[in-house]
Amino acid sequence: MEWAIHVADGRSLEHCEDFFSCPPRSSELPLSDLQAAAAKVVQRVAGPVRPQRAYLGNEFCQHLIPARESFSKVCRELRERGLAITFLTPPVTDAGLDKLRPLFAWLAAQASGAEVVFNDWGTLQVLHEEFDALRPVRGRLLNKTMRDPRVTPLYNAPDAPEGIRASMQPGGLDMPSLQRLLLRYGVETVELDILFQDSTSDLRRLPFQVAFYFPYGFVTTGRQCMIGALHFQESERFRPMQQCQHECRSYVTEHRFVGTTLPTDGTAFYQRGNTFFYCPDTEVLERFLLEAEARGVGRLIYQPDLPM
Amino acid sequence: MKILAPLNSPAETEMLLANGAEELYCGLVPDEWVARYSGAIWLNRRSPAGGNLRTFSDLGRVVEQAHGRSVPVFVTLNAQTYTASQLPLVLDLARRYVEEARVDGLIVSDPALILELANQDLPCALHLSSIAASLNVAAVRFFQSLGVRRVILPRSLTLAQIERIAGEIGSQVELEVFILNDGCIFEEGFCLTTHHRSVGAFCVGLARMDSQSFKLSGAPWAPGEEEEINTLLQDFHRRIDGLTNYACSARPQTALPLAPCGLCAIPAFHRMGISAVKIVGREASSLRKLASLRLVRAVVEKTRNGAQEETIQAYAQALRESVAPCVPGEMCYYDAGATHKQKPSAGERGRVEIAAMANPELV
Repeated sequence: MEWAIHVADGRSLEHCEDFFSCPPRSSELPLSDLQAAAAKVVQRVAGPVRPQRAYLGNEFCQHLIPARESFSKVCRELRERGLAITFLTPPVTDAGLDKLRPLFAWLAAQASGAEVVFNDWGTLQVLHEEFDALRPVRGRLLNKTMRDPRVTPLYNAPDAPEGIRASMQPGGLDMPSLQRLLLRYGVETVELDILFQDSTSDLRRLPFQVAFYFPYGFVTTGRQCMIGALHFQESERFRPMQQCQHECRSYVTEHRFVGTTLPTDGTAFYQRGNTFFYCPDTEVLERFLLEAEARGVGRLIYQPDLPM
Repeated sequence: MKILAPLNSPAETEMLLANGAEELYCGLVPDEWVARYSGAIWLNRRSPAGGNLRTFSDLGRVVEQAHGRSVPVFVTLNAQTYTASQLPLVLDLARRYVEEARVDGLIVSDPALILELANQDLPCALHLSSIAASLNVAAVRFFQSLGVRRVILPRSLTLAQIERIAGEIGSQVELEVFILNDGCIFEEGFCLTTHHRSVGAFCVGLARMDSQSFKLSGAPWAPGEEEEINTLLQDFHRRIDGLTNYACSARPQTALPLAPCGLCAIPAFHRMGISAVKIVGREASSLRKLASLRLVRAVVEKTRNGAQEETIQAYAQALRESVAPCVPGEMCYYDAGATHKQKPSAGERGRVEIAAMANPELV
């Protein structure tokens, strides 16, 4: 099983040597507890693991597509550290694809067999038609299984109706038609979010390497960003694709689902940039990581920070 | 450019056809699906209760009446995804929609389902739902290669982005756009939450959650910084409220919808060669559906009659009740007609609205 680390735009390069070299943050941050808990679980499960692969880029916002200079600089640094490279890309408009093409061209010219994670079918089409030196990886945004922590633990409970439980399994990947399509496009790896529920799918039966992100899963995302509107006048706020000042790098908002009688009352969500995330509790995370290899997980991608 | 209208009852068919619907769409959730999956797992993008037909005979009646006026009917199978265990029932329903009820097209979003339907070789068109989030030309080309005839573009795209797609690939594939009712701060195609009544829509529920913002650096707040973030959060909740809560509301006197729209962009869509403009709201009341259709038809007719673009936009804006500013992110999808954002007076709006509703050409 391969271990990978998300370094975003290079801010987290220190993690490349050691998963747990995260600089300490304020104890007031709710994320500090999550990060510490996740790090302890990884240590218990895997011991002193050194990542073999680095993920750079982001999956959620095309405003965060890096400039070519900084992109190539981080790539070179990662290669010098002996890490394979996976470039994350978000859903994109045509303007976003225009920004990605020069990065793909540079990456393809390195002849390094780099991977590109696509979260947009148009990106896959472009990779297939124009950049066959790059290896496409299907991103987790294209796995559309419901993951709403307000209800998914209930829908997957042992006493939930069988039809509902079965509907919580990752959809599509076990269908031969979709498998053939992805293989025809050169997709050998598919990515999923860590799920609250146990998957009954036998991942080893799939003709793909299956990779999971942890500890954060994404819930929803969009093209109207709350924090990106911080520096706009009230009347100008929340327009789709508004140019921002990357305020997502500075702030996070925690939302806690309260005031209900549901067992999931108290569940926390983390809003960073245009995206909401969840984080399963330590027990779920530990069980998942302990069983991962035996269940056929081919790669685990550790994201020390909320991935934005 | 056709006007596509929603329905959830055969009783609405004649009303919609008589008032200018040129295409119809609906959903059908049979009891068999509900027995297996309850109301928790939706067969399509609307709740089994309220947003859908229940029987094939109902669907057959809708299609028969529509075909009597040469109007096509499309049925939604646009859940975000289907599992392998769901697929046999979904494919069986698709076959029955087409062969038994004789619908003209299926509105789909899951690539796996599209591929399976292509293997079935059903005599119907496949329309790609906005749930598939086709945001660029290459994505449209990808789905076209899977056999999709029409692509419904997400309403988060700007007019310029739609124009680029239409310019580059609009001659090879039909394009459909949202024109009235409903909106969301999130991208539907990447929102993996439920709208089930037990918890409600995630976006709407945010305002009721306990929320607290933090600086990622862990540094202390600068003077006024935390208050600024809290104000932003309240404003965010207000926008979500505006986009969603007005989605199903209407003016009491006329039933004219108060929801977001793209009416001002109709002349631009006409010019781009967009195939259809879509009215949202399968679950809405019949009266609201009628008012929505008349509203869209009034603007489409002005466009077809060759009125000046600015005249059409001013007319469209005067028709609407402004519960929030007529700008993107609030009540406007596409930011067309920006020169007319001066809100008309109540008297002016009332005169135009009454004239429009009483116009014998519209009824």
